Amino acid sequence: MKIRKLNRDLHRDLGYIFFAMTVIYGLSGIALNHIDDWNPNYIIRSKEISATISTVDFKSLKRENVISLLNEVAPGEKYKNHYFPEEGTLKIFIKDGSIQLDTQTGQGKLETSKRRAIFHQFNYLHYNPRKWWTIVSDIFAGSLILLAFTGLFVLKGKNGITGRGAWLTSVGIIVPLIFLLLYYWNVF
Amino acid sequence: MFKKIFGVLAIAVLLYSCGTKQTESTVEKVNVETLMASIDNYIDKDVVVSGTVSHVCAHGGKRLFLIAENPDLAIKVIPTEELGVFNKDVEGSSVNIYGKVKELRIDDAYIANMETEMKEGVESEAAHTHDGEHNIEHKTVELDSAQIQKITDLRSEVAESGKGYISQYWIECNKIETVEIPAEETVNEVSEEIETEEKTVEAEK
Repeated sequence: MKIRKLNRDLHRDLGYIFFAMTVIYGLSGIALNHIDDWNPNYIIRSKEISATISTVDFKSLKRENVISLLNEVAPGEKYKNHYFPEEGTLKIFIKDGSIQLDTQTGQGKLETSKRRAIFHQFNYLHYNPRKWWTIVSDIFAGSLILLAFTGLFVLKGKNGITGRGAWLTSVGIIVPLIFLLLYYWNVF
Repeated sequence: MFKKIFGVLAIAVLLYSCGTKQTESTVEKVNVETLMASIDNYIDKDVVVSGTVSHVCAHGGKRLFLIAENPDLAIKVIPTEELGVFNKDVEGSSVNIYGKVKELRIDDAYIANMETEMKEGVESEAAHTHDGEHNIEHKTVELDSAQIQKITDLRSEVAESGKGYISQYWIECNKIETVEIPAEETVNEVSEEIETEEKTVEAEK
């Protein structure tokens, strides 16, 4: 009786403590699962631009010339730096982005990036940025295992592990097992 | 008792700060051009490398590329576990990278292993190029034409090197510092200034 109460209390308290961590890892887990399809950290916007380059001498380009050019193609953007990544291409770094310009045609692309709220912060943590966070996330991972086991024994009776719980737990075991058989052991 | 503990702590802090300063002063400061000109002399050495950040990996900030005045000269920079990740905000900034220069020797055995890893869907570090592009579509067992070409190119480079290997270099960065550029200077002018500074230091020695 006492063990069941202890189990329930532990499950409840760990659930409270690790509520935020579960949301962080759950949300960033989904984000990172789809990293090939989108950038979970930044919202990247790009826009075609066109500059009047007939008056620009790219061979002796000064900072002030680049700023004038920038004001023409992207007014309001703040100049940071510039360089020629290859012949015929000028790259202008601006605050939160860059402009790539063809020095022959004046055609180019303005790309700006903005941190994706919540995802940027959560993904930062998911990437295990520092040693101490790794320790915290290890504790969380261990606690998840504990949560899983204590969760099995929270209820008694027909909804407990001997009834409905047994079926649902079995389903939860079978699903990853099917994928292992499919992908890992190549059974089918 | 409290005074004793406080005294010991104060001494410890003082000693630590002195030690830190001494370490920083012995680290050689170079720009990307100087580093790349004789990079073999810097392998596994602590350095401070100045340059311009041309690209930061936007997906995770796990790497950036540092370029010289001549943008063909570039070096990959990877953060240490302690530093974690790079912020994309540093893209386009002039920075000082504190860290250790590392070398990876790519020989035939390495390429064979890389080919296997590619086939297994593992993205090899060597697949990253200095322009910041990295193909993450390595999930098929059969290599695509770009991957086959990359491996062929690497094998040719190794064969042409005459040493039996080619080297890839990067900096393992433990600290990044953004350098403010005065309004009248361009990236080129900054590089020139660093070179002048180095010459002055050498002359003083």
